[in-house]
Amino acid sequence: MNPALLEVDSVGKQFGGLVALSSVSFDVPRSSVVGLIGPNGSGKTTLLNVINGIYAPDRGSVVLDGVPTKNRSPSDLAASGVSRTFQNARVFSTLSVEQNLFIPLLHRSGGERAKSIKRADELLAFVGLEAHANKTAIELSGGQKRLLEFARALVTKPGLILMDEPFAGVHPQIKATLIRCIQEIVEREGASFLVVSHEVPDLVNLSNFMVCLVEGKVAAAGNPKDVVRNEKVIEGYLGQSDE
Amino acid sequence: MGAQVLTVIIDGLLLGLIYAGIGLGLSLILGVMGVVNVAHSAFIMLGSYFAYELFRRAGIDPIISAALALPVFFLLGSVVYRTLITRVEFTGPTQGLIAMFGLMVLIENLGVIVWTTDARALTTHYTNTSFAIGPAVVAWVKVLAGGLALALIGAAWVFLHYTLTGRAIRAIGQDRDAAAVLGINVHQLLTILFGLGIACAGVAGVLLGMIYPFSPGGQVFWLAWAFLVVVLGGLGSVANTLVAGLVVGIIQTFAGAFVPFEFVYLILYTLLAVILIVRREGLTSVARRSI
Repeated sequence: MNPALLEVDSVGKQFGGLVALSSVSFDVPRSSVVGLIGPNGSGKTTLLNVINGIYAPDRGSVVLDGVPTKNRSPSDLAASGVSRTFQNARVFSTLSVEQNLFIPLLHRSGGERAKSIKRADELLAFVGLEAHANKTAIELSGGQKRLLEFARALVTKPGLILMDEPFAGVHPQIKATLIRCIQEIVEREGASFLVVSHEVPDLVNLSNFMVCLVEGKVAAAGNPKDVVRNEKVIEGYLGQSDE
Repeated sequence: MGAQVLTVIIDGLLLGLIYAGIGLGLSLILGVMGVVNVAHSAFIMLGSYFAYELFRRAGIDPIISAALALPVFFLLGSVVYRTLITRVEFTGPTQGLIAMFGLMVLIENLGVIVWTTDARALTTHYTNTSFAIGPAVVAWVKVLAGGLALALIGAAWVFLHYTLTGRAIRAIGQDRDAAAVLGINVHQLLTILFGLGIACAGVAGVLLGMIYPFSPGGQVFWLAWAFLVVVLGGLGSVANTLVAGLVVGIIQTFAGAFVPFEFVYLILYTLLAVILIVRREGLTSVARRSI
């Protein structure tokens, strides 16, 4: 078995004259949390979009579980176990909380769907939204929408979850819930997370591995504590030592 | 006067149900997919001729034809989506609009070749029968057509709100990328949606054909009615479309009864323009909050 769940190899992406990603390489090991940091516009969200098939890379390759993801659509990759959340929680606002969780089960077979429905109910309790199951998603607070989006990303028991700024603008209690849930899912289900965040201290504590992008390139990668001490990272992103 | 007003209200409500049926398919396709299907009325026209041919050649009652139109036009819509819409849906609204306009012209001209420009009518044994509600006289054909339209609207509502496929279609209408990353096969569901929208047009065509004469060139008038319902009701919402259809039906029958005929269209188009000016937002933004 390949030790890495995801291999990002020399990925490049350009939009017209703008180089968003330039030869980005790193691995996401199994059962791990990889933190992805970098200043605004450094290509973090573009990288997530490349990994889950919203954008096709111009150069390089993304390999999931030993299989290249080239030309695979987001829905196809989701079926292979890649799930994600967005920078602004994108819940289906006119559906109920529970219905939001059932949407990913559409193409599942009968038995599999029944199991996942049970899991959906468990996940609602897991993130603390069980009392809101029948509310319309638009009625939730911003933080609750993040929890719902997170639970929805977990319904199909994905192997890799991409999270874009999950802690941005949420109440500390919601942030603590998200961190606890991420840790439990890694431990219990062996899933891997690639988490983009500007909350560097939290991400350092949460991650097993960290990557910093600056101007579309990997400025540093490795142990989170080493990455935040790296001169290129301090110069290109943090501005001063994190210590 | 009282009898006339009551007749006009009942007529307006029954016609309103059919107008809601006309607007429904257009509203769903525009609301979920963002495609301005100006060929909608051409499919309405095809629905009328579908019932006409089944009645003329096989003696099949238009009520049965309305049920048969559902799968036939669903299939037709699915084929149009796969062969035409998938090629233009990401190329910007102008190309999509031009493609649908081309399809409308094509269907209309094929209609002229096959059926000529002469107006046709579906005349069954109940076409000219009526019954009384108090002092008002109500045509059976309008009751039947209105009832079928209500059944169509109800079925669409149940599908979109109580089935997982319907809810997933609504999810796509709200956020296509978010649905795709959850594993939803967007193209498969949009094929279903476009098929459903065209099926609504086909069935509505059968129902209109039961009441009004039809010709290939006359189809474009129904497009204005459909847009009026959509603009009034917002996009993608079945309930709002139903209410909008009823309002348009009442306005039309009142205008038809109490002002000279030539003013009816003037009133309706003025209403359309006023709503668009007052709302100050494009059709698609109305859609996103309604689905």
